[in-house]
Amino acid sequence: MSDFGEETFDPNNNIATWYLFYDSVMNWGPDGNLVGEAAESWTISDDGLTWTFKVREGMTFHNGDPVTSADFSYSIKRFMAPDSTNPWAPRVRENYAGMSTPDKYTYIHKTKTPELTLVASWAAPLPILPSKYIQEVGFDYFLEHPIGSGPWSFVEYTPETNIIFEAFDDYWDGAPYFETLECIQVPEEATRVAMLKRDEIDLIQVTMDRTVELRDEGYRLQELGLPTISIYAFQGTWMTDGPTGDVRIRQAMSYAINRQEVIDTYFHGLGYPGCFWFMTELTWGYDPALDADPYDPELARQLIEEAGYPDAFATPTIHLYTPAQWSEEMLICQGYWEEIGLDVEVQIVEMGKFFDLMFSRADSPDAECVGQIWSWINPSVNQNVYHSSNMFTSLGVHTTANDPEMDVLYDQVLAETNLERQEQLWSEFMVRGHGMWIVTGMWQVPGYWVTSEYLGEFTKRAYLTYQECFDGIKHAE
Amino acid sequence: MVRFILIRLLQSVVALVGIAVMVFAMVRISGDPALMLATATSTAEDIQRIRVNLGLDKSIPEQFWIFVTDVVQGDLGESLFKKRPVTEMIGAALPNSIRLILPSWGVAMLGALLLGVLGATRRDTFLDNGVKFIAIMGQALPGFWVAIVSVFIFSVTWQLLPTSGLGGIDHYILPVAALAFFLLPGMMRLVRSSMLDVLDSEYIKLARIKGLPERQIIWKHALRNALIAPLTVAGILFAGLITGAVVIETVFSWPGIGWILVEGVMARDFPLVQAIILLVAVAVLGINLLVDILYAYIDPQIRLQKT
Repeated sequence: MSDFGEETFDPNNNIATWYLFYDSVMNWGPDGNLVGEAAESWTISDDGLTWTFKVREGMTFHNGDPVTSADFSYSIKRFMAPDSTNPWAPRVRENYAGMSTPDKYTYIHKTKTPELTLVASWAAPLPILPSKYIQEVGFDYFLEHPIGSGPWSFVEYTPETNIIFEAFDDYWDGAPYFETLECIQVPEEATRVAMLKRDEIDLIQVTMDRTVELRDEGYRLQELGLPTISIYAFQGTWMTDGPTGDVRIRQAMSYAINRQEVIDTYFHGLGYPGCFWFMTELTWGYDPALDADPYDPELARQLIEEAGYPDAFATPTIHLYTPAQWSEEMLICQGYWEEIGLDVEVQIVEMGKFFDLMFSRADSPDAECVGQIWSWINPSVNQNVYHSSNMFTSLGVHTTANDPEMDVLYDQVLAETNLERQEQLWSEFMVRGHGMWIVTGMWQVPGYWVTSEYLGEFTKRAYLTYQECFDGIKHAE
Repeated sequence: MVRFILIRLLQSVVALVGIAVMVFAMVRISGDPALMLATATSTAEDIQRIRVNLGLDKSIPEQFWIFVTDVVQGDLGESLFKKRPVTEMIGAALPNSIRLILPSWGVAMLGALLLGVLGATRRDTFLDNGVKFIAIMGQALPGFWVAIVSVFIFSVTWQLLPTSGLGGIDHYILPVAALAFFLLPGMMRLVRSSMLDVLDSEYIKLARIKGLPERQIIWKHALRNALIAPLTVAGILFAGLITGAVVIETVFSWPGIGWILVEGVMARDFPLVQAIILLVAVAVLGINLLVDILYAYIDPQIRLQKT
């Protein structure tokens, strides 16, 4: 890994190591469906207000204690505590009405209003902690000597260096094939490559160019996790009289991009055209109407001509800002936009400045972000409901939409108690958002990792995150 | 001498207070760290809650007062991103930095001394040209390139040394050599030019006329006077390396102070950045104080000057 990120085993903060030694309430399946993890099954009452989780019987923590409903109530209480900084905690906290544990293996959770999309929080993941152990040893001791019920048990952690785990033989889903797992922090890509070649490490992720070089040298590539998506979004379109205020210009910008050409050249063929805001074909509620726009420079030119560009605009230059690490893709787009006659200036900003502009909920045309475009290159997700409230509702923090219809649709989605109907409503919401042209998807690139000759088949959850697949890696034949 | 040290100490304290104020102000000018902690699902209310949790909703004077009182009590706060006490982070990273810097600095200074003296005493010979060539190479080749190439030669191709990480003595060879290679040329040139100046002075000519052995003239009489300028630079170099070895730390996955400072800056991690800069300031001021005392020891005229 290039960086461990948050260096604590507190599940309210840490994300990177959750998957290794905790189990979540539930998780996402290979087809974007939900599957049980610590909860073997669950039901939702007809009014959508009561969730009943059946705890997986026979499942134990690494110290041998059984996982029970008391662990569920402890973990969920802690997860949604006011001081929890977990990004999913507010969703559970704000719609919490009560909990109970009628027996050792049943946990009941009540919400104030129906919100079936809370599955995103239950599968966020929401790790189940060993309440009895924590009460015995105290939380500070637990953070130093954490245990969970996941496939790997904690052995040793050296900050900014490595974390060592050993296989948990009694894992409910089968023990890992390897006995030991060591995650090493290696910030420099060239060093990761050297370590792989020196047989010091078995699995690395590097940039696309290096990935292709290593593949050509005979190393095997393994696809892990959900694809990374590249999008760009328009801010304050209703507040600007500049070019981005005109939907035809926004639309033309999408038709101008030859997505397949970028995949074939820049990504060496290792990607696919099309994606949407935190969405790919694997995301809940995906609709074919969200497929990639065609490459049609003629139509793009026609649209900008209809919009009267450049004469109709006092300042025809369009501004786009991006952090340095995503700038190459934006500069490629700039070339396509130039070809159809659009003047787009790409401004590379430091990440802090990028967040200042992207998260600025501007309420006046004078705000710095209004009329600007920002890039976003991030992994897609299984369910993008809460992400999309920020993009498409008028209360979103990105200042990208101001459509009261979208607000109404969003509330309808959240209130729907029938899962099938809810998914249909969500598709409608996203398709309407797509038609606003305030966010444009470009391409999706699977997460390719390079493996050593010692690793065999990846048999478990490779479709989720790289951390979640380790227990399913077989030895090479 | 005591008065000299006391005045220098007082000056250091004043400088430290100034640095603390400046660091506190500058990290805040860089922007709102709550936005760096926000995620794609964060609402405006979530972002405000992050600010409250971090104490960023308080006024700047209030934040400064909390910062000062905490620092005085030895509490440097908790890293916003790593979620670990900053003192613990520095406590873990600083020994790693020292373990890398000390041998690199020692090797570089010793090498610079020997090669600098050799260059000065064998001026314009094959040896001197060789020394100058090393100096040019060391200054022209970027440190990260030297480090990466050395890993590929010695670790990957010849399989002689480990690529990176902390460990036994073999883990030190490449990072120490790479860092020393970066430090050596400048210091070597400085020693050489200082030596040339001193060797040209009247008292050295007198020593030669008196028939003192050349070895004694060079190593006892000339070198001692030639060391004043290199000594200052050596001290500054050492202090600067505490955070300045970041390239070598990154290439060799060496978890030192430089690396965590870069992480902190990128993430607007106020407590971490403030603490490390204060630490470096203390180190620089301390080393400068030590160099001043050494100066005064080497050259008594200095301690008699008005400070």
